[in-house]
Amino acid sequence: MTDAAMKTLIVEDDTATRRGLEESIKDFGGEPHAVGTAKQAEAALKQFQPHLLIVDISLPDGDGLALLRAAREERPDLDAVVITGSSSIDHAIEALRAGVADYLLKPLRPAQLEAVFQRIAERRRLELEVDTLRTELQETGRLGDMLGRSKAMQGVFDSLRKVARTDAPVLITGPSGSGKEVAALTIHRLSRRAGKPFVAFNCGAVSPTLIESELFGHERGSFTGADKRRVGYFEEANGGTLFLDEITEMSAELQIRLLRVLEERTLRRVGGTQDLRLDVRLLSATNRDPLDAIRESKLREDLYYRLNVFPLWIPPLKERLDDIELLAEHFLREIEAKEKAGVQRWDPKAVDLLRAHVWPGNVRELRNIVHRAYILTEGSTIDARTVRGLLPDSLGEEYEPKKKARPPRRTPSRAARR
Amino acid sequence: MTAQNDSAEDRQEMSLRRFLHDLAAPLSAVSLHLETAVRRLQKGNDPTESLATAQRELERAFQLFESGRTKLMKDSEPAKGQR
Repeated sequence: MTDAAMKTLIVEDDTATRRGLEESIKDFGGEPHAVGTAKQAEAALKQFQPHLLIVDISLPDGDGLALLRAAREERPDLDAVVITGSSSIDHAIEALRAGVADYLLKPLRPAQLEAVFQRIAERRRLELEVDTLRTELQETGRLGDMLGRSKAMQGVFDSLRKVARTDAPVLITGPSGSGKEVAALTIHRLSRRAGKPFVAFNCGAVSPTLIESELFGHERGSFTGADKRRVGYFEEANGGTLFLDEITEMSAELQIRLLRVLEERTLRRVGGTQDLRLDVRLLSATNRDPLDAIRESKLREDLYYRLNVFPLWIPPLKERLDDIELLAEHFLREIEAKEKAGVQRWDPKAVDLLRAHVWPGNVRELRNIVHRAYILTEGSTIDARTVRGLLPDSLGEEYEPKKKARPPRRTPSRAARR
Repeated sequence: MTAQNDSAEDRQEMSLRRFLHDLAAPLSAVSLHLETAVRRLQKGNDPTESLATAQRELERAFQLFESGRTKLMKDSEPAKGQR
């Protein structure tokens, strides 16, 4: 993604206003170029290639709206803001038809100008990010921090891109180490909430007695030891995305509370008396089969339906062996960039060994093996002997975890319904 | 008589529109340059140039206001005579 300043062409005949606009755009982080006539603007549109056009409707040698229409015919992606001293409704309608992003009345209010500019800049930044990510996906088998050229992962990427455009809750399932949190982060980064917080919380890593106050926050004095007010993860994520991992580790009482928060979109801190409005997208994950979890009373069925509006299954590494080389190369580059020990290559036979392994610990296990091989390697190439020494003796022997997570069935069986 | 009154009212409305339109330009410049001056001050930079421009534009607004007021009063005189 490029963070280049937004190139802004200002067309305003009043010299002092033009200079004021130029200074303001510069201060807002844009790259301004200002002209005073329609003719100068026509030339500048070609040479300067702006991302945003701020144009006064009344120009000494022409009509700002005609200039805008011609510019957008050439460049439909050009954002435009119209400035006028007249509050005529006809002008406003005409400007909207010409595709302006906003309409500012003179006298200009700097705060209004800044809000309009930043809104357009933020949208442009997100569009650029999405474009970059799409290109990465097509060219390098990469989507955000996720890697994979295998058919299985291309399917995941496709679902992920589609669901990222919405605000739907996503339940991500897949075995431990398969990259559920990375998938959640990628959804966030591709969504309209990308500029807002992404907060990840592992329900299995915090003592059950603490989860409630960690998630929902608490008021001072609400329990012994609560010596000051604490904002919970939900509030921290407001405007953005909250990722709840190991959702089935949450107690039944807390699941009811979570369900209420999701239904009412409000939250009350522990010991609090006021309901706070929330705008949080919830992504959740589990390495269990959620339907088994429902049967075992580990997950409330009503909550499951709330969370599982869009199910996303991340396959285990053994089902995407085509990605091993890509992942191994990526981890090696990543580790070398940090450690700088000069280990830069894989012996093809070492990669063959990686491909033959079953990977019960999935991508996380692969990363650890790469890191260990990196540490043990003395030259610039990781060889087969080093890798063989790191992989368990059971190479080739099928490893079956006690409870494999499989793609969840669409609905619970009748027996699972309460 | 009514047609004459209408046309006087139209003229007066046109004058008022033009007056407001003209006044909006220096007021825009004043607010933009004052805001720039504030940002410069906050960043520890010299705001003199922006303040000087704001002052000049405020003077221009006053002049436009004075001449607009004089013109509007003049425009309204024949209407008084017709009552």
